[in-house]
Amino acid sequence: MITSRAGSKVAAWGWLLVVLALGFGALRQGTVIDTSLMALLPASEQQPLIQKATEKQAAAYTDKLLLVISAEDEALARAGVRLAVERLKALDTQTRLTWQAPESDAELAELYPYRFTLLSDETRKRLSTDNGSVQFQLALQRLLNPISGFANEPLQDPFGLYTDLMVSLQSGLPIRFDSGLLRLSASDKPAYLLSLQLLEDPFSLSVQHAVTAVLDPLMLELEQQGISLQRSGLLLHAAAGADQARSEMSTIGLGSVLGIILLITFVFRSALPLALVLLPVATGALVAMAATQLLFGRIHMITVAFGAGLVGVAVDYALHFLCEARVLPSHETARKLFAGLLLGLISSVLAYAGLALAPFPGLRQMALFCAVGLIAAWLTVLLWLPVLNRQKATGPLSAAVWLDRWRKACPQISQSPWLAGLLLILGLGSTVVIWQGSARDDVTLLQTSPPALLQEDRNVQSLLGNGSSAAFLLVTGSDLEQVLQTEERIHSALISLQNKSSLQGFKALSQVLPSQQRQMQNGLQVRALYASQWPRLADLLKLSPQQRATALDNMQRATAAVLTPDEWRQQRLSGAWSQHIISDDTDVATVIQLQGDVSGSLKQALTALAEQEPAVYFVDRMSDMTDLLAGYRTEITYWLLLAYGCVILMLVLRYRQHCWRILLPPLLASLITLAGFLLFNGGYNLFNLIALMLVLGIGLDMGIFLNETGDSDHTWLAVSLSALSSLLAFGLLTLSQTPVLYHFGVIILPGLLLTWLLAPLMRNPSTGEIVNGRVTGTL
Amino acid sequence: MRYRFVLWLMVLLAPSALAESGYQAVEALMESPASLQGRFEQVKHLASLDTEIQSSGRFAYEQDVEISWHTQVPIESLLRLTPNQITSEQDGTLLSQLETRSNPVVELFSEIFFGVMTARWDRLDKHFSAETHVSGSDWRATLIPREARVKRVISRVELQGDRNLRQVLLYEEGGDWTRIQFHDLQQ
Repeated sequence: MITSRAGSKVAAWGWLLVVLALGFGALRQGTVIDTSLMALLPASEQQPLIQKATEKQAAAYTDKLLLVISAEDEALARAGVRLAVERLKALDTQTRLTWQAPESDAELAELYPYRFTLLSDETRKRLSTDNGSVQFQLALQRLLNPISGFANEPLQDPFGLYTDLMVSLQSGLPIRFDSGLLRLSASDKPAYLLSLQLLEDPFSLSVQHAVTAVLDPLMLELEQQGISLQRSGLLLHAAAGADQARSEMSTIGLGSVLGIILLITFVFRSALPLALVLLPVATGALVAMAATQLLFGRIHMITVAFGAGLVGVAVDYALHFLCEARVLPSHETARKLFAGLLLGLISSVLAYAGLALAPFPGLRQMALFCAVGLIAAWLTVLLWLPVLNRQKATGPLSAAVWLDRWRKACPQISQSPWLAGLLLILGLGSTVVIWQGSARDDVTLLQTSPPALLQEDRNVQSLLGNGSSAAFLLVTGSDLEQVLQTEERIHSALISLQNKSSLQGFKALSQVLPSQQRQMQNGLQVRALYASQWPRLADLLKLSPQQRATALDNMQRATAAVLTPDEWRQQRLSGAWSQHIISDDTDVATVIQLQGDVSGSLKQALTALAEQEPAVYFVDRMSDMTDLLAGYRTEITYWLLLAYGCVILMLVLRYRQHCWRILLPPLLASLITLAGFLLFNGGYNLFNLIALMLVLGIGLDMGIFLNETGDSDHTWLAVSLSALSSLLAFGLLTLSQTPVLYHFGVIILPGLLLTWLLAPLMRNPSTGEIVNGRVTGTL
Repeated sequence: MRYRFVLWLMVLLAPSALAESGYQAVEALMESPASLQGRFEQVKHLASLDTEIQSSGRFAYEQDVEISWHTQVPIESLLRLTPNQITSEQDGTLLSQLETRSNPVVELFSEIFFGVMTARWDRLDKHFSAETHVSGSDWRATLIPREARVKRVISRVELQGDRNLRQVLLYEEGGDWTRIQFHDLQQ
């Protein structure tokens, strides 16, 4: 016994060394936590350019904060803008504010030299029909009407092509200039736009604090004057998310921690067991995080959140140890529990490791996290708890006696045909409901913001003409010229979609920077226009031969002025289009932004368009997300079925005809819970299924331990405590406002409760009598 | 260049009720009818060619509904404005059509234009400062743009009139100017 004690001490120290080494190794590497959902996409599906484009589009939303100030009355709205500008001065160091119309459109004037090669669509159409006679008539009319357009430069641009270009470049803008302010045309009420460019990370808590400290009182102040302020920007959602997390942490989180503390101290009447229960879980989570970090190089938020939950199954191991230790000496406890603990571990690890087979990086991480976490927790219980637990066997706990009495009063399924029948009907009914139920992989599941804030954001974005669907076309090629030519090729298809009114509008680089091929064609068209229409116009203007020669000279020069991509990048106007150009080492791509909401039929049309052009991709982030969720859900479904299959096989090998006693409680509970959820909610999702894994894990442990220890009253206490603490830890998430957490909790709560209630009904009638922890029954 | 038309229309209709500061005296002298029509004569001086182009025709407006500017000499051409559109026609053929809703330049034009027609003079005061001279029933006003965007297109406007607007003079920074005179006004 002495040698064995010394041995266990060495083992305990050894394990501590391993834990510290792993932790230190991970720390040295530096923890990288992923939050991007894109990081969860299977690697093969992500084209680098598509991902880059997606990130670039998202970045525009990330580092901007848009404010819309509106009121019934213009003067009031403008007063609101002035007040806001005054208050926002406090944010000068963190943000750059834009609220005034630019002094002039001098940026557009940089395009003047290229007026004959950058033609608008309408102009091209006019020039290509009837020798450009319509353009001639228009020019004449401009000369005679107060709308002229070429009075300044009759020798430079007699046909007003620059005016046409300017009008076309400024069409489709959601903003107009109103007494120097940016007024949103789409709003029924007078509404003005203010844009804050964030100079710091929107996820930084200090930035969030600084901004909300200014915005919240400003909003109140404006509201009192009858002025409304609407906001859009990632920062707001990040701040709302942080706020919600904080508030739920202090209500739900605190509630469950307090509940667990009360439960454990009430049952054991001492504080040490609590520490001993939490130690394996904490060690497990820590080791799991370190191992994931070391193996994957980074760790995803979702892995941590759910992985830590699943490792929570390990709370069982410690509870069994502590409960048995009340009636047995420490070293004997470990020996007695070893078989049950090992079986529990193997079943759980097998179940969770199955996740690694899925092609999703997120699930692989979670598999590793859970497997390593459980093994670490298990080792902690076996190696540390006997050393740390100095409590002598002090006799049975009153809670165990009381719980056991209640359990004994329950009818047994093997002796009550009507109960068996009832459960059979419930199980079959649930199976039918689940069989007919459908999945709902709604992307809103991933949204953590309050609906009101999301609505506010949508309002602002729709005033700016942006749809909520965040879809775009990506045009790829080996150089910009090739890409622009492709854009021009699909241009007419997009215009026809626009005319069918399903597409509100689109923004493509080729609209401001045509391909060089197109520019040269334009130049030729303008030459043709001069050839057929210029003499008439020159006669009307009574030009001298010298003036005519000058005009033709100017035309020759301007029709040869091709705007190259390099020259374009030098222009100030190009800054506003940088979001549209994506490039990596070998390839170039441009983004065609789609305005307005993208309907289902439009999506189909755009997908078809992209299929015809191999260099064009239709990127729809929303449905990508939905597909991602659906993909994960399908994988988890298969895995859950596989896990049940493996578990059944293992249970049959070990328990033969008794295996149903272990399997049925979690299986029935899962079926009934999921069926109930489907009846009320109409569709299940990924997070419900992850919750079912936990139900299976805890339920299996419960059954295995009850069987391995001969159904002793202290085992029953341990599994009851384990179920209750899990209920407190995860079941309370039902109260969360965050969809992901809610969908997790709403399954755990009834699932675990039912498992726990069903377990006594399935117990083996031939066992269960114990004397001082000694099993009298047989398996 | 479209700005010029915007401004031109503003000054065409503005003096009938410029309520603020310098405008009050003029406003008191003028009528602001719900509809008005008449003849116009226009001279446009092009500095770079050192030439003048003359034209004439008829104009008509109906408050909140439509303004038409119908040039008859030397060629026929019709310009029509509604709160939503600006269209150019020649001999019944549509030459161009601009939507006010989707273009800030056109929108500004239309907004100010119809603002003036419905006697919302605060809008005009936003863009110009005015200096007026009144002698008996005649008046003269000089408008100077407040904003650089406006000034870049038009540097100064001179108006003359009595109960109605009689003459408009528009000056551009490049040296061009346009003079418009109104005759035979009928409500």
